[in-house]
Amino acid sequence: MGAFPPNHMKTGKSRSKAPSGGLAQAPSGQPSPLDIRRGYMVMTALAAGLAGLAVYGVAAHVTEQLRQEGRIRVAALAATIAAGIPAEEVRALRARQSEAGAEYEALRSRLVTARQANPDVRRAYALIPGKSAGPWRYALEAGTDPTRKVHAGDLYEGGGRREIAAALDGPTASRALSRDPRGSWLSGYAPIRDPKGRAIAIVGVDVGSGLALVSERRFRVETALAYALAFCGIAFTGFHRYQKRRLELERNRNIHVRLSIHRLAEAMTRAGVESDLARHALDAMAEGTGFAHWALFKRDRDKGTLALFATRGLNEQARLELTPDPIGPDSSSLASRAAFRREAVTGRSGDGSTRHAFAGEIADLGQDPNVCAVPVVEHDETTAVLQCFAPASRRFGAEDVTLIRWMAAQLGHGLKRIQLESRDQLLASYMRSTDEMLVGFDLDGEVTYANPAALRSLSDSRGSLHGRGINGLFLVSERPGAAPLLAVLRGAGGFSGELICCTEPGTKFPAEATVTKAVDREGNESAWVLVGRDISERREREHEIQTRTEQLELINEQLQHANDGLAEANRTKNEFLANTSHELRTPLNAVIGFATLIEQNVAQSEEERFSFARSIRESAEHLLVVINDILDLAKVEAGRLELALEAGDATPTILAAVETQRAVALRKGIRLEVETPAEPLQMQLDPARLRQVLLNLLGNAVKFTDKGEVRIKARRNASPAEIHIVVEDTGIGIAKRDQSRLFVKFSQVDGSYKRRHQGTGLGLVITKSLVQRMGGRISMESEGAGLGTRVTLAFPAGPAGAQVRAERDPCLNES
Amino acid sequence: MSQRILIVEDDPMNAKLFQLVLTRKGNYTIQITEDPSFVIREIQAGTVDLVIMDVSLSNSQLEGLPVDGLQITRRLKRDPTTRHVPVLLATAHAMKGSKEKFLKESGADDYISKPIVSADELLRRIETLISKRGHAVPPADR
Repeated sequence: MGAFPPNHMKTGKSRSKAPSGGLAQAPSGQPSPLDIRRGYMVMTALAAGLAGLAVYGVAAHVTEQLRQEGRIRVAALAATIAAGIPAEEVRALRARQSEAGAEYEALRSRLVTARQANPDVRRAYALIPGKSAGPWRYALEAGTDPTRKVHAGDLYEGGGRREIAAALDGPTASRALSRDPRGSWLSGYAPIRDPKGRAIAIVGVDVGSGLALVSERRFRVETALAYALAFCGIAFTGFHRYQKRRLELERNRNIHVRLSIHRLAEAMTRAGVESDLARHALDAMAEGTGFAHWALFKRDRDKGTLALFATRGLNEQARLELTPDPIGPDSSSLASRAAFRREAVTGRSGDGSTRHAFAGEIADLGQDPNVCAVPVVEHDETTAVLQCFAPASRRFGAEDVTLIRWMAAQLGHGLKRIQLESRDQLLASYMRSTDEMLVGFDLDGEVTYANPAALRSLSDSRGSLHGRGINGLFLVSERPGAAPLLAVLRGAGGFSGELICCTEPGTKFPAEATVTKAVDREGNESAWVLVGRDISERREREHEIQTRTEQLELINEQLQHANDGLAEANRTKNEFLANTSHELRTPLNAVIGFATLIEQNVAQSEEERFSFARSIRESAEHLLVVINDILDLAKVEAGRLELALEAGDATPTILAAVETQRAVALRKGIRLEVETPAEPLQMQLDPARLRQVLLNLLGNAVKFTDKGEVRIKARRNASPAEIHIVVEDTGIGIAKRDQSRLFVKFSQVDGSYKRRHQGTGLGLVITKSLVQRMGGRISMESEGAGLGTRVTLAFPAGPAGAQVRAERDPCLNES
Repeated sequence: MSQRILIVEDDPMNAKLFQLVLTRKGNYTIQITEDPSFVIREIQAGTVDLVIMDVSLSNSQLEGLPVDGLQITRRLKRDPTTRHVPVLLATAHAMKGSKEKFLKESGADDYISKPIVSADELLRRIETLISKRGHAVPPADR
């Protein structure tokens, strides 16, 4: 109950007071306390009335009997007195009809005696009937009242004449009491009879009714007391029963309210969505309070207005009319007013205090219903308004408002709970869904929370980080002696950067993480929160990207190189074509020119004509060499260079090649040396092609050497088993930058026209190809231009000293 | 007195052919050389009427550096003391565009490609070049 906002408490009543009809309407099927009270009052009155009637009857009967007894006693008294009076005295007195005489006095003294004998007797007298039973006259009288002294012969003027007349036949008594200021009395009458039995006079006795009245009065008092007692009993019984019934009802009702409250509370804790919650809550409220018509408005936080959220017992028309105006001090709708004041507001539909004058009549509600609007307040802010409608005949009592307020507060809790729950669920789903690791630590670095991503990344197979501290999970650095993370955090108050995460199985991965200090509601530092992301993939990607970039750069470089190569090759090819054209045209010029000279008979002698013909032949031969070179190159290009490989000794081929160059060397004045080992140089070879190779190399060496020597050395290398043939010269050499172009097709080292040495530039290309086809390799070194050249050929050696094998290597045979 | 022609040619066979054709079929005095300095000197001496210049030269050097026929020609045509003598490029470099390229690069007066199919054509060209030169005033005479 502490949830009531304080401003609601001022009108609140303690629930410990028994409700006294404050609950306006009992749940259906139960009588209202008011009805019950009314019923019990009627019943009690009826019972009391009946009891009164009975008492009255009994009392009347008893009184009558008492009076009857009195009359009999009075009559008897009169008869006794009458019997004491001798008839002759009376006759004498009657005859004389005066007070003179002894008879009168005697008689009077008798009456006085009789009167005095009975203290109750106020008066005794004798009456003598007049003629024809006419007026009675006093014969004598003995009274106690001196003011009412009567004399003989006076007319009897009192009452009870019928009884007096009847007394002629026997004693009688007056029926009713007679009264005068001195009191009341009963009169008894008895006849005085003569000896013949005739009544000659009547003795009357007035007996004071004091005793009788006292007993009667006592009886009446007793009766009244008895009746009062009986009434009290009846009233008490009635009240008791009423109270019992009422308490029973109240208990039932309390049980009912409690049940509904329980239902409400259950709905508040169970319902998963607000609409369900509102529906259950309104049902429970209707059951608990007995009011059947409800509306729940929710406040739109952004707009600040109320919007109808749920109703109970209201039809469509009513719902349409429930549109509260903006919340403010002058709101016309009760709901908005309650929302603004943040306290319960009651009013009536018809009295202008609320706009809800339902046009359409709602079943059970009637016209102009009473309305009670109760705000649901949270943190001094209205979040919803609960509105209850009651028929015009039922006003909202304080109890009702209290109960509704209490229920509204419960509803507020429920709505709040759902809001929190949905926020919790949202948060939980964020925590679940994110790939970011989120780990909470207490200030000592013990794990207090880890989201699924963190568990997946860091935990052991049991999926727990139990017993693992912040320093065990995360390393600032892998360097030995690096400060543990907790120390860093305590020093710097936080951390942002790269951490090394240690998983339970013992693997490690890098993470980009931020550790911050969490602060609780009171502003106390309570925990460390780590948010991190596994960046090993990123690392790999970065690494991959790096690798790829490098590869691409390499490829790019290669492409550039290839492109340059292609451009170079294209340029070289054009140069080659120009050169080849030149090399073909130059001898052709001589051929055509000398042929023309012969034809035109220019020769001055036979010998000169022969020399012309010789010139033609030599030029044609040179032409043939050029053409052969080009054809060989074409074969190299097409991969169709035919080799007839056989196992054999390379030495004879080397010596023969050297001999062909000896004449040229001699003419140029350079030495030509050859060194070959004594044992055969066994290898797979095509002697003609090897000769071509050696001629080319030696030819170049001689051609590019103007002084010094050309030397060819052949030997067998042990490991690897190879035949090495080296051609060295002391010639012009080759600049370093040009060495790579040597074995490239169509390339001459010097591409300008100032070529000192004729040739197509194909020799080395063809040579290299031939060497490779024989399984060997060729390399050329020169210390630089002018420093000589060394060309080395290396071929796989055949078995040392072995016989020349007759069969060919099947592999090599294929080419 | 017959006109004197210098032939700059590295191929002995072709040089001999030029000599034979020009001495036997035309009445010219012929001197064969590979030395650019000699050419310059002879021209400056005023004893040369025409130079027939090969382009690819294996052994020619000028001021210690290897030179080709185009470079020698350019040298001749740049020098006021030598530019008046007509130069006929006779070369086996006969690719498409070679003629225009060589004439532009070197400043030579004419171009004939090898093989020279018609000796008469050669002689006619030479005659034309020399006769043109006759109208020109040699710088030495100015």
